[in-house]
Amino acid sequence: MASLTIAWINGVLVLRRAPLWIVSYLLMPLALLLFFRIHGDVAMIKMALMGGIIMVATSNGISILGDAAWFRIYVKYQDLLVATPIRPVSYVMGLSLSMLVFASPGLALFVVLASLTDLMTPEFALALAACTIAVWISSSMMGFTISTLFKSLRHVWPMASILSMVLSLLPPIYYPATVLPQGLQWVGALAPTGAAAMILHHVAGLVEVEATALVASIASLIAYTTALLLLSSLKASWREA
Amino acid sequence: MGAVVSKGVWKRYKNGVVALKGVSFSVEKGRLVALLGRNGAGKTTWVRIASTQLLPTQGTVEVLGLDVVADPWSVRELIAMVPQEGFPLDILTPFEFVHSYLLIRGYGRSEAKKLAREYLALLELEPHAKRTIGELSGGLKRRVLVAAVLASGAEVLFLDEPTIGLDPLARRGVWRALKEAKRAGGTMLLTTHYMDEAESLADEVVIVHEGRVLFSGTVGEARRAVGHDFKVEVYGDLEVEGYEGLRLRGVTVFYVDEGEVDEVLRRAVAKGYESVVKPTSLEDLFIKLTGERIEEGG
Repeated sequence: MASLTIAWINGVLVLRRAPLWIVSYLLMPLALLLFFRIHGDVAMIKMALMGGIIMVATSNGISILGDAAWFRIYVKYQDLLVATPIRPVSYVMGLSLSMLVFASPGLALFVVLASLTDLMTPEFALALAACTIAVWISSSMMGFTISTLFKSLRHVWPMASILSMVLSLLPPIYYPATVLPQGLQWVGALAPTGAAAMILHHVAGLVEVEATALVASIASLIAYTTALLLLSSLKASWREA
Repeated sequence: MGAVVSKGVWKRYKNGVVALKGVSFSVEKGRLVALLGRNGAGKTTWVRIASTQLLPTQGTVEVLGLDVVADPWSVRELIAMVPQEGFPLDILTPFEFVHSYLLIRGYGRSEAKKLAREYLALLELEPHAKRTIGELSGGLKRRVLVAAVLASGAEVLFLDEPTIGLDPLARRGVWRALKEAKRAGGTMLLTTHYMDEAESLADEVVIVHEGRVLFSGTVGEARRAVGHDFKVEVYGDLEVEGYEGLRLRGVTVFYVDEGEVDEVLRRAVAKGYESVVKPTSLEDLFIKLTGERIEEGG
């Protein structure tokens, strides 16, 4: 209940009162989609649609960095909640859910656009749901963990933008993993976003990913999600030493 | 058994700063105790330890018999806290903020709604209940926070500078609400450097200076501890034989009884200094104990 309340006030109500944020986070993935629509082929458009979903989930997940730091450092909302029965894990889950709520209009738009193509087979839809959830969890838990390291808000906001861009553009999301040197495609799985994209590219039949890279991608996504969940629950400490 | 018992609490931060040096005092159930001290005296550090946010280096704090270090989750069920310099979330309305805080504490939706309305009314926030908090003044924002914490019904409330930044009228609004909560049997610990706040609200005061408790007792005991009924503030450097003058930034303060006032005034007039006679207050105990005024803190 506590998590859902936090998701409601920091997700639903904020979304309703500040909808401009949706336009803000959709600008980049929509611009890339337009670019590929003009300059790319059908495969590139499909890649940009999958990339859009990953980018929306990642940028919103990482945004927890700003919210968590704002709540802890500036408005002292975290201090207010420490003196209540709420568990730190429920607090983090609430914040993370609010990021998903925030991402949902953007995710819905890209899913609708993707369903206008022949991408949405049952296998692909299943893989897409699993990868999106994994990317959302890993990026939001990564964002929360990093937020605990900051003492000043000034450094938090640029960090969120940097991480979001690096995670969304550097790994093989908007380009096929086959661009990477042969035998080294697994490098793309070093980021959870790259791993998710390689799995989706493979399931959609867009890219013939090397078997090692595919295994690395699945392992990486599971490992990142689990490790970051554990790490964030350790960092979500209610008490300072 | 005290509702809150602090025994020899020390806090040394990682940077070497020693904020608390053996703080001991106790608060009886249903009492409102003011922790008085200048900025940096250690009040907030102590409140953060007692409200389970910070570990002490040494010593113990018990809330209703529960050790805050050993049993923080049981303590958290019983306490609520207004953090220093805290603000409610600006995108919400006051009602949404108080309501959501109560839901997070485990209240059911209808009970939370009822309490939120009741306490917003008590803090005179009803006219603003539908505006977003971002549109409210700093003082109103602070009252929203106080409303949420009072509405929690927690048995022990920690209020860290709850009226800082409020105008005198708004401060009195918060005082009324705190008095109401006290009448309902709540135990409250509030930190402040407003002497009038402590005198108006507190049953007892604890004066903290540079991490140490210099005085702990009732407001009446504090007044008596000054030792005199009046003070004469002389705006100049004055010495009067047989009287000890305390020099504070160009003002010499004499603590005297009624029959001695005229003598000090005569000496001041003879030297051509202006002077003022006032009844002694809580602040005078602070001055006597520390040699400083409380407002001079940075």
